[in-house]
Parts: sequence; C-alpha cells; structure tokens
Amino acid sequence: MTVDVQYYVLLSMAVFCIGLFGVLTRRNALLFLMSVELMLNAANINLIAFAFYHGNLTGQLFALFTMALAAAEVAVGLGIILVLYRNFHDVDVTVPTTMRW
Amino acid sequence: MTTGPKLRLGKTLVPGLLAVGLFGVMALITLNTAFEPMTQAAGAGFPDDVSITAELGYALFGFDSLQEIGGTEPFLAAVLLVAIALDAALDASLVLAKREEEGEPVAALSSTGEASSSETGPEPAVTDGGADGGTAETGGGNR
Repeated sequence: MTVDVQYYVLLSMAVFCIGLFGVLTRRNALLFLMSVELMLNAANINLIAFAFYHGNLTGQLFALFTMALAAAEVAVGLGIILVLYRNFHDVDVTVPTTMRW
Repeated sequence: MTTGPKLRLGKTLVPGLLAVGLFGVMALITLNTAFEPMTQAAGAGFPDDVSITAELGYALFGFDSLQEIGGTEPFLAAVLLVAIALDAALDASLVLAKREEEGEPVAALSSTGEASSSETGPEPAVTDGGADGGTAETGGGNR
C-alpha cells in the first residue's frame, strides 16, 4: 500500500510555504539561502511523487538536475555572502542598499 | 560583533502570514482535487524486477536500447549542460572569494605569495573573517 499523491503535494506545499515564510521574515542572508533551498526542495518532492504516480522516470531525473542547480546556486550564494560580510561586516540583507532602486 | 542567526519574533513575523495564507489556499485546492489512487492498476509505480538506479543511469547517458521502463527521455545533453553550469558556479565562487590586499588581488586558492609575506610572514588563517578577536596586525589590518 502506498501513500496517496495528494499527501505528497501537501507536504511539498508545507515545505514551500516554510521557505516562503523564511524569505519574507528573515534578514540574515544565511537563513535566506536556507529558505530558498527549502522552496527548491519542495519542487523536488513534487517531481518525484508525480514520477511515481505516472510510472515514469523523467521526474526523478529532473529532480537530480534540480539538485545540481541548487548546488551551483549555493556555491554562488555563499560567495556573495562572503563578500557581503567582508564589505559590511554583517550578513544582514537590509544593510546593503546601494543596489536598490 | 556576532552576526550569528538570531530568532527575531514580534512584528517582523507579520509578512509571514502571507505564506501561511498561501498554504491554506493551496491545501484547499489540493484536497478538493480528485487524484487517482497510487496503485499499479492506475499506472503508478515501477515494475518490481527493474533496477530504478540502473534505469536512471541509462536515461542520464542516453542508452535508450537498455531502457526497460518506457517513456523516459534521454538526458545526455542536459547532463553536459549541468556539468558546465557547475563548473561556472565553481569559477564564480572562486572569483567572489578573491580579496584585495593593498590593491593587489589575492586568489582564494593561492598559497601565501610575496605580496602577503613581505615582512610579517604568512598570515594566520582567520575563520571569522578577522573581525572578531583577531588582532589588528594579523586579522583586519590590511583588508
């Protein structure tokens, strides 16, 4: 017996909304990065659940590629946070304001 | 100065209500959608005698003739593109990690060159960026 697909969708929505909550409320750049990762991984849950639902492996492969892109994003994101800390001595995302319109 | 994560409560959590509301709406939609049950009869799941990992590998590298589960596209071009993307990300992180000392760029992966070992010898590694606790001569002196 397997779990029905709507529970996977609910789980993925919960994870996505936790990530969105973090993005909307946090000011620490590291927590920002973690929240974006949560939102990305919510998409992965959906991809894998629906790959099983349709009996097709394409979704699982897509999830693999999403993970690779998430790794690339974290590499660049951590580099940006490093520069942020070096220039502002803080990782608060509200401190650098020069690139705001 | 500590910039570790601090839990901030109070008024800053108000925009988070948007996320909670979004979850409510999306959950309502999901629970009112009629999904097929996850059974073999409805087309869900994979055959028991097939190795999923092997099938994923065949699909990644485009070995169509070895596939046993039908309907999986070859992903060889995507694998190559992701390899390039990861390589670019590695380069980007190295560029971002580069710092300048007295106008001279110092690469993150270089050992201590002549620029930094002129009189005081190699700098000690500072894991906190040199802002906290490090003395002025070693940590934050020439940043």
